Amino acid sequence: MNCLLCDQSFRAEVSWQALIVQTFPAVICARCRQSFERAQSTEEVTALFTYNNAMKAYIQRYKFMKDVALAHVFRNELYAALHKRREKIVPVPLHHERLLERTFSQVHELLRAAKIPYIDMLRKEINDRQSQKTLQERKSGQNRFSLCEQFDVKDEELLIVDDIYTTGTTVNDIKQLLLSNGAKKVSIFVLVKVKSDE
Amino acid sequence: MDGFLEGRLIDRNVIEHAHTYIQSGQVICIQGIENGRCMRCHNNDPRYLFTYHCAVCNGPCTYCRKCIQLGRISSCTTLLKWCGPQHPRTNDHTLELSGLSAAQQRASDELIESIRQKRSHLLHAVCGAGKTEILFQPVLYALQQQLRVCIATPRTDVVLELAPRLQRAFPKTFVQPLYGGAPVEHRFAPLIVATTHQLLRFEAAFDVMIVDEADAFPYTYDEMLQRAVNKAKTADAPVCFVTATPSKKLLATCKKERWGYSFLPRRYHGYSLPVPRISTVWRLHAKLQKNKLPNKLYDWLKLRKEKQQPFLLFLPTIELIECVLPLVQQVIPNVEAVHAKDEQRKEKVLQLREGQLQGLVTSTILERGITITNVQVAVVCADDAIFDAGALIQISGRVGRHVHYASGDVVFFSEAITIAMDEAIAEIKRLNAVMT
Ligand SMILES: [Zn+2]
Ligand SMILES: [Zn+2]
Repeated sequence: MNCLLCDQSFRAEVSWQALIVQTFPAVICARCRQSFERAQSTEEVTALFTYNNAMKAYIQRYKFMKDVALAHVFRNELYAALHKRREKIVPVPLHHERLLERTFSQVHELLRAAKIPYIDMLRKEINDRQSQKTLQERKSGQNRFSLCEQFDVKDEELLIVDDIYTTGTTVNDIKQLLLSNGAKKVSIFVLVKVKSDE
Repeated sequence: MDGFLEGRLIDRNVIEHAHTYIQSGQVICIQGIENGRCMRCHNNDPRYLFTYHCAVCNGPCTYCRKCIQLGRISSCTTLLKWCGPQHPRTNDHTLELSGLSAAQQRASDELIESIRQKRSHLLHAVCGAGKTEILFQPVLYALQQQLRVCIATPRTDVVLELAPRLQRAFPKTFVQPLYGGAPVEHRFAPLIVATTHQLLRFEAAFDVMIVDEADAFPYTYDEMLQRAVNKAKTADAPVCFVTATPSKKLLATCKKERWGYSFLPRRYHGYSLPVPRISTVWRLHAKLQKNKLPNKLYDWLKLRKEKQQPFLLFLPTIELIECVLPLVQQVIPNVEAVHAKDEQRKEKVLQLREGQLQGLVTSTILERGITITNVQVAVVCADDAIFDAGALIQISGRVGRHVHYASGDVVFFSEAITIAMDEAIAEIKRLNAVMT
């Protein structure tokens, strides 16, 4: 098949690992695969990759050119990292208007491609793009996210999943929200972590 | 917006007041993807059509991955196609003519004759034969016949060089350059200079289609772009292919379909093409990767520095460009690197032309279209597979284009001598031997 990123034809080699661990067939070539750089996880956040040039280009194409097929690129890595987690998986949602602009939610599509079950329990209340007041609102304590009424997170262990971690404001807002609703433990998982000097 | 939409095929969402055009019946709406085919680029290869659950149409939606660079087209995209009256055309065009050599004039006349007969044409001209000047009179002829003309080329760099030259040559004509990210003036243009990708935004728009660098990547390799050329022109519009290195297939088609044919084996100033020389360097690639500048390359750079000559240093990969740039800068400080993804490419080439930079370390992106007076050229790792014979001929063609600097140095630094290098040198010698 042809690589989803560089369009060169390649053969997905079958390794002995593939036979033991359940994996999905590769959708990108070895060269493109090597262009991504694994990230160091820290105590507060588990991250799979750094935000290097290859990742910048990937994000640009996936989110901004809306090439949804690219949700499949990291499905093996996501599956390996998430399928044994005991916590309930909570994807970071888009605001309704942003969802209509993008036509898909990048985090949900990543999880779906990796066949990771998740619970859609959050709602984004404020469209950051349109609201000039966001910063003030954040300071005034109003959370940009809310928990949908039908979900009770009391004593639950939860894992928030987002695509990119930059300053951590988004995921930490959600973490506070879930803890204040009685969650026992809330952890954070992201596909990409931007180093503080990038 | 007067006449801007004529011949165009455009995503409804990028056009202001789309509904007024629809209501007035000047455009028809078509669905972006229909029956498994992208209606913009005509791709119907299922590997490049991806279906997912779309939040807008709240159901399965298919988008095209072939032409996604021009903005995504999906099942729920509406494309607007012009069906209104033709924009009034004028024949008030003039040409500020620079003198042509006898050979250029003959080719120019032959091309006019082909356009008159609505027959396709192959203009086979060596690098530096002055092919742009050859096109001027035929373009003027077409414009005065109130025909709409498009000059398409695979590369943005070529559009950037060609468009201002054409605008100067045709002062009364609106010449519109189109490339990814270009600011687009919304009015009717009788003469368009576009990258082949941009042609996908047109349908049955042009009465004369000139395809420059017809041999160049990606045109030869990508069927989609050939379809783009055919889709953008009217059914009976002649196509003129311009190239220094026509493929066997193009030559065969030209003969079989009885196209017009012009051959210019000489440069416009009559001097022969510089023949590349080969300089072998033991373990060249490994040395560069270890950040060592081989002596032969050092000597070559030193000579450029002494003679104050501008130069281009071609390398096969971005990784090598990154290794080599600091090494070159140690010898000559005012040197920069350019490659395909470089956003400042335009500025850097301009700086080289104006002498603020003495040299550029570059990928094959600059192999075509760039003309720098008295430029000297080295291809480093010329035995890399990316340098096929066509690319090496084009690269060599950068040298000696100016009548006052009709010779110059072209050197291939390599570990081995490839068939491509042999072929390129043989072809250049052959062209030099042809008498006109
Ligand atoms: Zn690839
Ligand atoms: Zn398409």
